[in-house]
Amino acid sequence: MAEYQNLFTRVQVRAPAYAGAPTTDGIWPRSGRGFFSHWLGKLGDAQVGPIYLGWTGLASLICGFIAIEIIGLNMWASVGWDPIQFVRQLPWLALEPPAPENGLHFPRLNEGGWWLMAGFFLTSSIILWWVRMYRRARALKLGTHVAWAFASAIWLYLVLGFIRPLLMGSWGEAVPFGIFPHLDWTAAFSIRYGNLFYNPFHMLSIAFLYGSTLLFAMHGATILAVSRYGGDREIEQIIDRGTAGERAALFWRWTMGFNATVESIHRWAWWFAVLCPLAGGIGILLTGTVVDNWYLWAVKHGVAPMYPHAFPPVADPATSPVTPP
Amino acid sequence: MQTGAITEYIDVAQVVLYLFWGFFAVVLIHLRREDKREGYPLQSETPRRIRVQGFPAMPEPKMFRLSNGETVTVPNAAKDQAQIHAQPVAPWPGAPLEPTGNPMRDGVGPAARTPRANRPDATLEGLPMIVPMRVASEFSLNARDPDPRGMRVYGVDRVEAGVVRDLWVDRTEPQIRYLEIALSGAEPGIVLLPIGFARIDGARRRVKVDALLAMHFSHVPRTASADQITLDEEDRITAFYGGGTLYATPSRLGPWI
Repeated sequence: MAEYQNLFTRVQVRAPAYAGAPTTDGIWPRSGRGFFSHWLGKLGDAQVGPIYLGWTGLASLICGFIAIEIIGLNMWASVGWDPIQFVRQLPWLALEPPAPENGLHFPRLNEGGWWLMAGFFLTSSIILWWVRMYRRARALKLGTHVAWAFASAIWLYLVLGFIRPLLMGSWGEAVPFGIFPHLDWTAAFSIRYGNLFYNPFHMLSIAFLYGSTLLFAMHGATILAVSRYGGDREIEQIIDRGTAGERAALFWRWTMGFNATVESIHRWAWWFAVLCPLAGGIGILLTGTVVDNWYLWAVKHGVAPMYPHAFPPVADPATSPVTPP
Repeated sequence: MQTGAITEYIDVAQVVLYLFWGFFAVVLIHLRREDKREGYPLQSETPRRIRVQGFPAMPEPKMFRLSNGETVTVPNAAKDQAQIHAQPVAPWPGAPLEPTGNPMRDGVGPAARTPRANRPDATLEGLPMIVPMRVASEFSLNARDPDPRGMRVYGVDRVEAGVVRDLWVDRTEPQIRYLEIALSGAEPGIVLLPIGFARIDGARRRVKVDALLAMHFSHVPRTASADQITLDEEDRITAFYGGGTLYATPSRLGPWI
């Protein structure tokens, strides 16, 4: 007979919307009274809201709105303000950074100045959201683990759009805004620096990406599997381990030889997730600044073999002393 | 020399990579030590003065301060002293255990459990967290889902065990935790069925339980209070159903083919 596997909530209960844990600081109250969504309740808690916005949240949303507005209007202008073409070509439209010869100067608005401004407001928005996240955690007497994990993602973002262009001496090194344009940039960046797959930090970043998804799949499956024993109440299992936590630990002890605890599995997942953008950011930072060609670097360090040339060698235009007209 | 070279062989990227390896090694050692807050030191045949903990060593004890003012320190030397109603099938250490009595009632194998706190789990406000809906009167059911109350409960033998009388809900994370069953067999009584062991058939208004036979329901551990459940009682109840997944019928113990 098939058993209930607790993938979806079979029967939902409703209680008056919970206003949230009491907090002391902040002059802003939580706004809204909360509402319920049947479909969200299939997976988790059906209640949405009330939500705390706060000054940093409001400022972040405004900055983010300005950034999206600059990007969107520039893209729209690039198709001659034609709304149909804007929608049709949206995935290919871009707001490009200034040209390389501009260096780190502030260019004219339509030659990359808008890009610089959009980047400023987007970065402000993200950092304000980080501040909000940190302060909310403190106000609720939580640890600040989520804020620091977010900081790891912000590190990669800043390396790509700010720190590395500064070190390279040109805003032109940064990533354009746009859906396919930023993917094209990624592909071109990889090729320009001798194939990013030979960058060991790129390898590490991928390992942590797959590692964190694997860890989270293992953990999520384990907790669902022992939720019939109350294992989904993980905090209680950490401080007063019951049969659910023992079964979860024994399953892994017996199948792979060792196990984490209900607490330490979260440390594993946190570190792997944090290390993914952290390692990736290091890899980007080294690219072009101290390594010009990751394939040749890999050959030098015995990571890759020196493949014979299948085609006659082509001069790398970036390393050529002659600047094209 | 190439870009970023320090010597003929050493370059910046290489140095950064080795620094990262060192850092990652420290992270891994930290994580493996954190893994050892539970279940260590290992049981062993070696003399008592040797602490079997492997590499890396167990972490320094740390203290959790709980919301009710109590503290919990891990790792600690607390040991489960409960008598095990089972005998090893062979003299070598780690041999499988053969139950000596009724394994479902004695808590052996998949019915095993660990002693837990003898108090109800509490909400942030200090109220008992898991209570029947007759107590948590502010709770209601979503009209789009079937109402299990009044449904007949069947064991894996398709024999009726009882009727769902009420639902025990979690006041912190609103959801059903247990179905309260009024037994319909020879022994009347009230038992709890964990929602994870119940399959609710809304169309035929039935609750099916794969873990137990109908006759086992009267042996489900009871709660001391009619409207509260302690953490220890929760584990006694869920472990009993867990035991049924192996011991309810003799065929479950044997191989499939």
